Amino acid sequence: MLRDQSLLVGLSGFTIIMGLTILVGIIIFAFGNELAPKSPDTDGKLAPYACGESIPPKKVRLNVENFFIYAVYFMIFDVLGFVLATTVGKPVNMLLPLFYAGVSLISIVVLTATWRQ
Amino acid sequence: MSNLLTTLVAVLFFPGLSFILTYALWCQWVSRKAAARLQNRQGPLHTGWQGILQPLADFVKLLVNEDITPAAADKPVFNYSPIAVFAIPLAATFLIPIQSLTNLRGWEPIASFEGDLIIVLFLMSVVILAVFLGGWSSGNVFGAVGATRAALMMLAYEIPLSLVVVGPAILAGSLQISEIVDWQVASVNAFLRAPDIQGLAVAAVLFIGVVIYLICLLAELELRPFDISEAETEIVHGWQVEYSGKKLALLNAGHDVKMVLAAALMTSLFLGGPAGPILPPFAWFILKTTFCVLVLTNLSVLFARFRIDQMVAGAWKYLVPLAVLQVMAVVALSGVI
Repeated sequence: MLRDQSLLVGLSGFTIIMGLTILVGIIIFAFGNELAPKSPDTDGKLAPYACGESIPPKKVRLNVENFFIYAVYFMIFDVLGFVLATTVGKPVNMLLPLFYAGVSLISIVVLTATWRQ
Repeated sequence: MSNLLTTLVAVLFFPGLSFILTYALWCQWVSRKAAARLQNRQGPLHTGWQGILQPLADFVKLLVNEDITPAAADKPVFNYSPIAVFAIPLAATFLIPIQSLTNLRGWEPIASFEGDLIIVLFLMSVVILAVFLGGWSSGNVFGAVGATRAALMMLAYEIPLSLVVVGPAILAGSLQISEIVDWQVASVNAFLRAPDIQGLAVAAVLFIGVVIYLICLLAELELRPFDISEAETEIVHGWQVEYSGKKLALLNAGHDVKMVLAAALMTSLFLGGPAGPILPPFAWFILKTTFCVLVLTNLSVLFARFRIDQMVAGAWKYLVPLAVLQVMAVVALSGVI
């Protein structure tokens, strides 16, 4: 096999890299702080951008009901993906994830066919 | 001692930090130039040969621009989410095999462990969380709408994406990206020695996977048919609307790095990774990922934007069942039952 041993092995090596990349981000941020000109903040500049219309800054409410339906679907299939991924190469266990995949497939077909907004 | 030196060079210069960041700028140039030529424009021309330094010039220009934090924004979250958007995909790219420093014909990722494929997928979805927080905390209506759209889109494309990625992992019998690359090299060599119907069937099933993966990547990278969360013509620039100066520079650089990560993951999982005849691995890596970037650019120029409901319904009605079927076909073909 052509592949050698990795230089940094395991999650600890990856944690170092994660720290390094965040450090690079902070350095770029600090560079921007140093280099960018400071000019006086006016009210107009600090107001939210709204294409010339006067929209007051407030939090937008989103339709939580629809959001939850998708979130539940997301959960079911994320679990499916995870179950399939972690049973890789274990012959004895493979039938059960496949059964789970089949059940989710049938249920999504039935649910999307009957779901009326 | 020399081992430590090799590690430092690999992490900081090649194939680590400097290489990935330079390559991200290259990918942005390729993407902009290709999109411009497809639309009968010239694209960047003036900075360097054919405007090749334009992405760098844009980055530096944004970095020295005045940086505004709106009064209504939630300041810590608003200020620091660009760092997460930049750093997370950059760290995930270190897990992709590019080139070995000690062996010209070899490749290994800088960091690697069993299950790093799951970590890469997880990090790709954590980026969307940072995007959501950034847009939501900006105190702008357009920003909040863009942020919720980004989150809803993530719920739609993340499932088919993670399901098709499991396909090559099942065939290779490993969740380690470098072992999936090894499996591809071994199976392609075996197929070239003795072509059989099994190999063709695996290739056909994985081709379906590549198509689904490409569609999901367009959504992941917020490229044209799925640029719903930043749609300039309706919600100005979506979640990025209040960002300026160094924060926008970080967001743009993060987008480019994410494009490199997406193209590199596609190369590693479906196109045989950095393996290839004659040329060294990093040259093949550059060729293959540039090809992926060109395909993504071509698709994004070709299509007009979908509505958010069309995108979500399309993903759940067509992509998810297709992805589940693909996984089932892969399981049947791999013969692990």
